[in-house]
Amino acid sequence: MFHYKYDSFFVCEILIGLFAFMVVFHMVLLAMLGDSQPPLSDSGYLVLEMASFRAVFTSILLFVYLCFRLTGQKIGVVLGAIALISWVAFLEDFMVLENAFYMPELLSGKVLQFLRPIYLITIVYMVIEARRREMNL
Amino acid sequence: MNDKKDPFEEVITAEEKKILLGGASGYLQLSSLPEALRDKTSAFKVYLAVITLLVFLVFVLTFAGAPLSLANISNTSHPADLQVHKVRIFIGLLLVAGFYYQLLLRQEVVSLLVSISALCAYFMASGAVRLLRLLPEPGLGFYMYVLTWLVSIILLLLFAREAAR
Repeated sequence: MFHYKYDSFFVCEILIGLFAFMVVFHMVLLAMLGDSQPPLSDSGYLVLEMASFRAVFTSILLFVYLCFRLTGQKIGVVLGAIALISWVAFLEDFMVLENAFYMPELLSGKVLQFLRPIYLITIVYMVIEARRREMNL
Repeated sequence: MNDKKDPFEEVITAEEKKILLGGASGYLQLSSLPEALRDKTSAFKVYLAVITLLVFLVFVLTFAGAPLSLANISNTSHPADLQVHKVRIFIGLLLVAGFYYQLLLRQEVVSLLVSISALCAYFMASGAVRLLRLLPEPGLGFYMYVLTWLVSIILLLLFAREAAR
């Protein structure tokens, strides 16, 4: 924990935390409010089913990261795993599932759509930075 | 008479100078598989052989149309399931190629193996959730699906542990 000062890495962590919080928040909103219209396509149907699963999985990953971070262990490997899963999930959405988070009625969906590319680039930067710092130790 | 010494002579060795002048091409040069495996343990080689064989079998059987995919197990009518499966197979092929590339570069593969096992956990969990929704009740297909992924994850983690030695 002491190897990471409050610098660009810390800003990245805030961004990642914000994204993870928004994913969970959006899924809670979806569960509470429901979908106003039935899904129009197969992929839309699958997206709705995957949504809550993604929220749970994001929470688990965040919890694992926090555990590693707070106990002062090396986080490069954990961040690498999170980055790989995030990019694969994005590819699945991009190639098959279309807009996984987009719900026109919900502002949280629009915010997530905006945050997602930022998150994907940020997590890659964090992996590179964490590995560089761990190699210099 | 010029008795000045080369300022770099005492600082860097001849080998380091050669690397510096020759650029970084040697760093990215792929070694052969026997060279890459020379300093590895026998357990590492066994894990590599077993996992490579399993991956090869899965790919061959998948392309031959065997009922290995989630869509086939659940008899789903959603084409999106089949498309997701295809995307995952494609990503799997890329990751296997990436792993061998990393191995032949003689770089550490532990973090990549841990990342792949985490990805397998994601595939297993998302597939299991989907199957529980699609199937009327979890039968043999469901348990085989989960068991196969579990075995893969355990094998990959054992492999990563061996690679770290």
